Amino acid sequence: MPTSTAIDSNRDRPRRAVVTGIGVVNPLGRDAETFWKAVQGRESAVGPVTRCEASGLPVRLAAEIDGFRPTNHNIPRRLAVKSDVFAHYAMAAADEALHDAGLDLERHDRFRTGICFGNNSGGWDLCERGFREYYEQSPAMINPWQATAWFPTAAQGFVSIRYGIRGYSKSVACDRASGGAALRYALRSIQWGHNDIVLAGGAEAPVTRLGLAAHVTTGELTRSQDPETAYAPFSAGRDGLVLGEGGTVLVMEEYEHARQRGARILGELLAVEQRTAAPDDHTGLSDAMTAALTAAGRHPGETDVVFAEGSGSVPGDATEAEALRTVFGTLRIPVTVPKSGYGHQYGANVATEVACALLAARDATLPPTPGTEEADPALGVDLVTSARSARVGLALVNGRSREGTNVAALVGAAD
Amino acid sequence: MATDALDTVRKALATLGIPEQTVVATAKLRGDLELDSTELVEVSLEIQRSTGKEVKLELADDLTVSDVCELVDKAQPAAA
Repeated sequence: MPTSTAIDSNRDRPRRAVVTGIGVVNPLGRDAETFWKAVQGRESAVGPVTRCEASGLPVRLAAEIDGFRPTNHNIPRRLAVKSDVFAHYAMAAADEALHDAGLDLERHDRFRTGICFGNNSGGWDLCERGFREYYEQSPAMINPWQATAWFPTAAQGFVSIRYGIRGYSKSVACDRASGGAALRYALRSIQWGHNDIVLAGGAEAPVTRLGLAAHVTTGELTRSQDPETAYAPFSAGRDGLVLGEGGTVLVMEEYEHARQRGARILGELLAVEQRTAAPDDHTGLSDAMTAALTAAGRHPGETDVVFAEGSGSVPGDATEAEALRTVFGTLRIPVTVPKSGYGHQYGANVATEVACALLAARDATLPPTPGTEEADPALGVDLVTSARSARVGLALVNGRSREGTNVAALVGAAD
Repeated sequence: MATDALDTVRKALATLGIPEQTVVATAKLRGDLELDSTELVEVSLEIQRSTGKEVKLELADDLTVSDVCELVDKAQPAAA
């Protein structure tokens, strides 16, 4: 029958996922444009920890968001009271992203709208409150949200409650690659036909005393006390990352869905590939990058910029540099790590840099790496240390976990 | 309904973000104010923090604000 033929041909056609809205709550700005302007200006939000008492801890620096009030971001007070800071960031970024996309979810199928978020740490702010109630008052006085607000899926949960979203959704916790892995689920949920719209990205709020102490044990954090140079990816003197916080949400839409409603298309998430290997085995990341390029039918030489993971550790950056050489050979593709100015965001990692890539394509600019004055020559990386004007048609965004999850997201500029 | 008790209950509900004008004597906690089970627990805890009295609301039927005030008035201070 003609009808079924039409359905079958639609089914065979690959579903594309475009980005139609961006929301950012970041140490460099509490909205996407403020953030982006600061990124381009090589600004850094790295500074002494003020959110909590850091005495006795070997780590003294973080990138914190100043002046954030949930109710200034269209978050109902009733939801703000019962949720943790990381969920506040997610709700605020989701609100901006939906507004940016001109999307009124009331007019769309809630069962074909999903959420895919990354988060690594959960809600330490609320946990610490619960601990104080338990140890200093009594077990009966623990706040009732200890069970519902601390865990990493709470950001997804509160955003789904806020907007009545009921479609296929995932929360992903895999260390520094959490946000990248969430984008992979988001893309697939559109490609596989589960969703027409996905709020994709993640949130993180690890700057509490216990959160810092827990992160110290990973060995990933720099011990530097100089905010200017503490997080210096790919530099010769690098010794780790600075924790950041915040949330980034992208409105991802199936291409025809976006086109039919006349949405402004910011760019396309062409592919997200994930590969696992031992942390010091560069092939995990090089395979992920190659797989993303192959999935999109692109060649390495077409890449205009790589937003590197740039974890800032001696072995981590060396392994990433080796992966880049494996994929790009002698090609000198510019590499940048803007997160050295706003800290590593774990759950929002990759999503924030995908936002940067989309805005870089819009403004034809390569944002710089604030923490690093000069790349270690031994790594052979063309690091963008000050902003450059350049056409950005294709960008790779990397995310790597401490124990070997590698994610590569390929972003294409709008047609 | 003692004014003190009403004030206590209003303050407890206000910490949850419940608009003060909706907290009238006849308002049901679940049916009208749409409190969920976690919010009922927090109201109990907030009353205990401010008065020292233990009032369990989460297991009860759908109480009105007036019912809660009566419970607060009658309740004994919780054991330390």
